[in-house]
Amino acid sequence: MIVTIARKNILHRPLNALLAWVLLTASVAIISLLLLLQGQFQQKFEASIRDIDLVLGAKGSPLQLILSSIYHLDNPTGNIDYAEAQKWMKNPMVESAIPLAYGDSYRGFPIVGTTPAYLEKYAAQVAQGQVFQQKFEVVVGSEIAQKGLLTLGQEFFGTHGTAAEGEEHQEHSYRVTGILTHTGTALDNLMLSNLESVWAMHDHEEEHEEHHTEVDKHATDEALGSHADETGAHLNTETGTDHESHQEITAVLFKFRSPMAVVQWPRMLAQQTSMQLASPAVEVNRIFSLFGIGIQALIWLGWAIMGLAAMSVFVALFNALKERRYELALLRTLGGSRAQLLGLLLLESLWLCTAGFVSGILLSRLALWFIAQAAERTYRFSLDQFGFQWPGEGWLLLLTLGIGISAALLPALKAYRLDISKTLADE
Amino acid sequence: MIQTRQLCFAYNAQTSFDFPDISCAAGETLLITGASGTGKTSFLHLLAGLLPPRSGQIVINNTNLGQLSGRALDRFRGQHIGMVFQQAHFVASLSVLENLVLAGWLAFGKKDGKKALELLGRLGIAEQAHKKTAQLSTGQKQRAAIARALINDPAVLLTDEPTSNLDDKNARAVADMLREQAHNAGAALVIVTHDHRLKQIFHSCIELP
Repeated sequence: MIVTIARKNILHRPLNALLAWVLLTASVAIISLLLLLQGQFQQKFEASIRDIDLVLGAKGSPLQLILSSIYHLDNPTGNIDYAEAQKWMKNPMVESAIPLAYGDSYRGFPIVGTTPAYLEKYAAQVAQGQVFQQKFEVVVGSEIAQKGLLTLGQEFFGTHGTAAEGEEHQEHSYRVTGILTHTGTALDNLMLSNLESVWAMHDHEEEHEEHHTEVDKHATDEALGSHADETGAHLNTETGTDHESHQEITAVLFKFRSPMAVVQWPRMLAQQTSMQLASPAVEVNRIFSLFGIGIQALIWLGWAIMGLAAMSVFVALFNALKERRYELALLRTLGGSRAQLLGLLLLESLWLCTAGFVSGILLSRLALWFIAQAAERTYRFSLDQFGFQWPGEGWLLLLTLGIGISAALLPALKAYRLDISKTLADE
Repeated sequence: MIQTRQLCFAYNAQTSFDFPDISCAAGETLLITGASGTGKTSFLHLLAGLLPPRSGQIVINNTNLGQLSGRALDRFRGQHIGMVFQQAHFVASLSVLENLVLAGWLAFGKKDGKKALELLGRLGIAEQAHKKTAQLSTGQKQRAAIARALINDPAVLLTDEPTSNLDDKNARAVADMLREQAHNAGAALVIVTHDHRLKQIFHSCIELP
């Protein structure tokens, strides 16, 4: 009954209630949206760099290398020679090294040449079909499959580069042999083939470029010794090409046995080779510290609006108290207790805050849905719109209710202490 | 039903009131009159347990109010005492019917809409049951207030200037209604007023000095 009266009392003064509700909704929506965005970006970003200590790639911006090789959000810094990368990949300090070769794309989704170890790294399973084995076989990330762009067994032509309207490679078609499970990482938006597919696809293009890399190549091969030759030979038999020189890749994802390598290798590489090693952890931190300032400012704005909302609840209740003094005294003459009056005012505030919280959460989901649409189109970045951002939003709920209680506290205490006799006497 | 003994009330050290002993049985009416400043309202509030007396006793339905405190007193007031004031006040956000049901709920924790409707019918305002109280005329409001005071079958009906705002005709009607309803409900009716018109209707009268 007190709950009902509290609700009806709020609706009895619709303008006061509306102001408080709008402010509460806005503040909860802003804060919750930012928590969602921050949480999901961070989750996505961090899930993707799990178990990657360093990334090897062509010289250039380390941030670009990380963004291109791990998140597929930027263009690669360039290509590196596979044989040269191999000598680092074979080092005993290396626990795992996964080569990535970029070449084609299909409808804007990159086709990446790699090894099945890449799937293991992200704990991706083949949900349907099987993993790539032969040239021009690809497995497709879960989101591409989900959007119905490609189905199992389908054959398609890739386009050169990452532009959706690039030149099509009509010579060879790819075939979808498998579809991957959802991993929540960049993998969901990729198509994966073996390295040979990428090399074979670009064979004819590289024939006229190869001569100038050949010279460096032989020099390093000699320095490397036997195992580079072995792998080179091994690959040659598989790809069936007779040039070992045009086997280029884009990046290698390293995980090390010893943390020493993480510290020492970047400098060694920079001195000895024309390649670079970039640390995903460092670069991701850099992104978040840039982002973070903006997000933090917006979160403060959200809190400021919530402060205004608290003020409006307080003013509404406090002003209404003057008119309602008699009404409250009356409840006491009817047998209501002090505690019930206290509860009534607290509940009125809590009703408003709960309504504000619920609508704010809904509004933030709606906003996120719009952002997700844009993010999908622009960055192929999918956001989960319906998840609850735990524990951030749990705290937000507690804080909203806490603000409701503190805004109502003074009016409620005044109601609790109300002198009934005096109130009734000076009507 | 209601008796007082040597009741004394003090606002502060300087101002204190000694009230005459009163007694009013079930179904009877007692008029308490007095000029302004004689402590009429204070007396009524003492009787309702809204103010603590400095000394003396109030016994309602064989219960000494002085022995109750806090929540128990609130509950006793709700269950055994009905009050009607000069100006009828209600919970503005609720309908007439909901206001009556609320009075029942506060006293006994039960919602009895049927009884509330029946009471409104008895007082001739059943059609107004679902209106907000602000939409009622002054006379209708006073009837609704009487209905609310009676909903818990109180032992005592305490009224503070129930007719002072009304013209002769309505004052008479309300006075008759109070007497009749209190009599039917078996409640002791105590009216505190300076309205001399009521002296012609009620004969048992105590004048405060």
